[in-house]
Amino acid sequence: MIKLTNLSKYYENKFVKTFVLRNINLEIEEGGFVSIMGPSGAGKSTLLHILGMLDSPSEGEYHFYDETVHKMKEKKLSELHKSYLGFVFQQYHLIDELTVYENLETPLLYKKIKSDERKGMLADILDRFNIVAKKDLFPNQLSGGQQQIVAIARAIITKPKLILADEPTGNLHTDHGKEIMEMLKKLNNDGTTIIQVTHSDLNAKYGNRIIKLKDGWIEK
Amino acid sequence: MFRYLIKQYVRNISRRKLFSFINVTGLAFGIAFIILIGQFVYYEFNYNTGLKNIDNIYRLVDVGANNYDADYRIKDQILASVPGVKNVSILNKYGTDANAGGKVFQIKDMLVVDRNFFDIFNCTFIHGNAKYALNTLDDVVLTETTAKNIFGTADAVGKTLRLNHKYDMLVTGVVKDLPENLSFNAEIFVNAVNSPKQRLFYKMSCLSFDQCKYPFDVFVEVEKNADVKKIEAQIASLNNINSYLFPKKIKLTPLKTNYFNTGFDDSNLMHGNVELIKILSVIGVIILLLAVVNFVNLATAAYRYRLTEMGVKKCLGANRSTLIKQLLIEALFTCTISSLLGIILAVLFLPYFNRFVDKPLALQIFNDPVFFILFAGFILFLGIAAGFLPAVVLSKISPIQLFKLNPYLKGTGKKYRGVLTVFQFAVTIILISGLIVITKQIDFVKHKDLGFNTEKLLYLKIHFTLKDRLQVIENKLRQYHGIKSLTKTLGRPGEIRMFMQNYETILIDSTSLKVFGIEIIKGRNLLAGDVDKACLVNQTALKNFKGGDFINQKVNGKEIVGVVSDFHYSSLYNEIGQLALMYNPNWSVCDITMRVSGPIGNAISYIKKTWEEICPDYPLEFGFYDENFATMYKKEENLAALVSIFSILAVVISCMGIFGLSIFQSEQRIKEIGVRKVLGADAREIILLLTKSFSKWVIIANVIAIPVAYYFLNQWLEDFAYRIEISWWIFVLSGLIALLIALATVSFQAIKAAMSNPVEALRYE
Repeated sequence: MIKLTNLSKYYENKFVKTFVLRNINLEIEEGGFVSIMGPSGAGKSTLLHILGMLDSPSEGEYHFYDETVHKMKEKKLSELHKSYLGFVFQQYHLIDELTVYENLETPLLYKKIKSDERKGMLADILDRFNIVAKKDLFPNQLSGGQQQIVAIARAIITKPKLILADEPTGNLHTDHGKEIMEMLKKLNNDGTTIIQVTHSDLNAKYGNRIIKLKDGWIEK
Repeated sequence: MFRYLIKQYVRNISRRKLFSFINVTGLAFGIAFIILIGQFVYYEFNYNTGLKNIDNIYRLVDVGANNYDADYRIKDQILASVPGVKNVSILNKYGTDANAGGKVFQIKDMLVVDRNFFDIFNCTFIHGNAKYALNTLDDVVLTETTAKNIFGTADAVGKTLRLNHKYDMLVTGVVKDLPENLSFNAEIFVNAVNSPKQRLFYKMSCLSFDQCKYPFDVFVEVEKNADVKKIEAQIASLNNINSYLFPKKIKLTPLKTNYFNTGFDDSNLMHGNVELIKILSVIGVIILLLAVVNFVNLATAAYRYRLTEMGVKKCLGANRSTLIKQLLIEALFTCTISSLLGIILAVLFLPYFNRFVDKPLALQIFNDPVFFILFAGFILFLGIAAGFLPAVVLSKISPIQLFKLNPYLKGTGKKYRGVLTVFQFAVTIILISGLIVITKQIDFVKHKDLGFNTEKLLYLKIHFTLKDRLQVIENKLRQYHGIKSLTKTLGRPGEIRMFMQNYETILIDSTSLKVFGIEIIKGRNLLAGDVDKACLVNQTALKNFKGGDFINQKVNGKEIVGVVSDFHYSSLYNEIGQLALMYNPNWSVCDITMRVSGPIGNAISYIKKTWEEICPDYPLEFGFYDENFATMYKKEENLAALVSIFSILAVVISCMGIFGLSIFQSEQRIKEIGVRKVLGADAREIILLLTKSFSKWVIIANVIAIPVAYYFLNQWLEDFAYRIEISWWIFVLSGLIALLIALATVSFQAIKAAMSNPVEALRYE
């Protein structure tokens, strides 16, 4: 599904190149649950951004299925976002001005899904995540855990092939964190590929593969 | 999707009420002024367009003549022998007095015309018939309003009206009032033949005793699609026996463009004030720009509020152009709301604005489709113009920011905000310094020593037909103890009526100088024996004599016997020129000048009573010299009033924007402030920190504003022969005022931030 070849990321500043990622070679199979781990500043987040097509590599190649991501224009990238990718953030990032229902509806609007179909999908997802009662509330009326549940629901409503999660439980109590991880595990069991960045060994155990980064290298 | 955008927009603005308020009110004021100014310009450019055949009406001007007008006899020649001409009419305009029913009315606009006039200018007769009106020299036609004023009824046909205290005229018609946007106003019409018969008022210039030219404005209505150039040539080639009477170089200029065609100087037709249109337009655009700057500044500074939304939407598959579209639509919403409020404001301001521009404007946005479309287009343009920069800046937000723990610290669009804020301050400084300079100059010209003593000095105008009663009036006035001294002159400071051999001339008698308080600096005063023989000149005239020697010099055959000190006989726009004072006891038209003592009110009521007794059939025209001179600067006072209103508005709009920015700034730096306080910074240092950047902007703004302001104010002062110098302290003061306003606005927020508890600021979100 994902193939990174000799991929590097660096910032150039007055003739000095600061490397964030060095010579990454990585393949991720469809259906995997991968955890990226490593100390602060190891390049975990940058790797996730590149995998999520939010940032571009300085060198090397990125193939997503048959697409050559490193050569793509913005328009094509947003097409890929719409059809294949879902994001989950440490700080949830629900849109404050929109209700739960409207937040969930946003990706469908950008995918230009017709109203009837949209309603069906929304009813389905509210039911599946057990948040029907909360659909008219605004994000600031929900607890952190509830917000993250809505965020995950929003990430998967378009049925993405790949979910990228950045410390999804970082802001949550242990109990809520566990709930979220189980939810991700279940999605993985249903066939969705998941890549998460985490500090926690406990969370990493939900996955089936760990990639350790240090100073921009993948530790063998 | 659209509904969804509206929903989000409404929640967005109601969530940040203060910023929405600043944006909407600022833009609304800008839009209101653009509406008013647009309405004014639209009105001005539509002069004469109400006439049915406006496209075919031309004014015949004689480019070779002084006043561009032509002798009346050309009319018949054109009508008789130029094909393609449908109609020709002639016109002159005078003021006069009208008496009826024992009352006197001052007529400002008496049109001296022929019967064709009523055809060309679409006059509708309410009473009487156009065919028979103005048949004889003694016929008069009134407008409806004038008829009602004088006779109390519009049906005045058959009544008698005495004009110029001499001619009893018969009302033969009443026409509907002429439209307001015509190049001339009219109250009454009389037959043009009165002029060559030298009745009523007339202008003439004579080559010899029997060769006199009676100049008129000539209007030519041509046939539809006629070749105007050809007609022009044909008129020029008319065989005329008398070359003195015939125009030297003929030009047909469209009446349609005559209003702004100030090249042809003429007293009969009104012209648009291009200066005023320019100033108003510039000011309107500036106010609008200030509001747009607020919009851009606040929208880009609201970055931290929009970050999540923009980033998440990108992650969810929105590309940049979709987001730009959304942001532009939001800007359009704001502009639409502002324009509704702007229309309301325009309605409220309209009466004041009308008084200022002296025009009867009405709001036409909703009843004139052209105007509505223009307005809608303008709002669309405004929305896109104001929304463009914020859209570009905000849509650039990278979703990567979403992964940062505290993404809010980094601002965006900072450099634009700096530039735009500098612009706002610069405008403020220019307006403030302009206000100071204009006020100072007006004060200067109003209070400058005129060279004669204006204290309680009055003038009283005497109509030339009052010759018989002049002595009675004079005697009666002299009897009053409150009138200290009195003299008669022909012409007076403020109104010169004669010009002889390059000398502005006032006719006086031997007592005049004493009454005015004008000193003789060389030679002697006029004596009783000097009638028609001697004269005085002023200092300026003396400079033109070799060695300052005036002995044996003459003006118009009168020997110069003395020199008076210079005094201002016209407004301070003009430099003092050569003036001659001549002795002429043969008073006809004259002004009585008197200095009163004691309570002014008593003197005035005595003058009024005397006038009522002796000349009840004449209007009383009198005034104080100082007030009379002061009214000459009305135009500048209007300008000062305008500039002050706009300065205040500009300052308020800019302040609102800066206030908004200061809130954003202190929110963005809340963590920094917290850390600094924990490390021991006191409130004073925090306030300094937050106000520093704004002060920097004000200083840069000063550097930009000073040369610009200096240039324009100097240009404006050039109009005056007597002017103040622009001193450096004016700019220092304006800069300080701007700085103070900025600091006052910013410190409110800064103090609040400085007083806050650092624990609050550092608490993990």
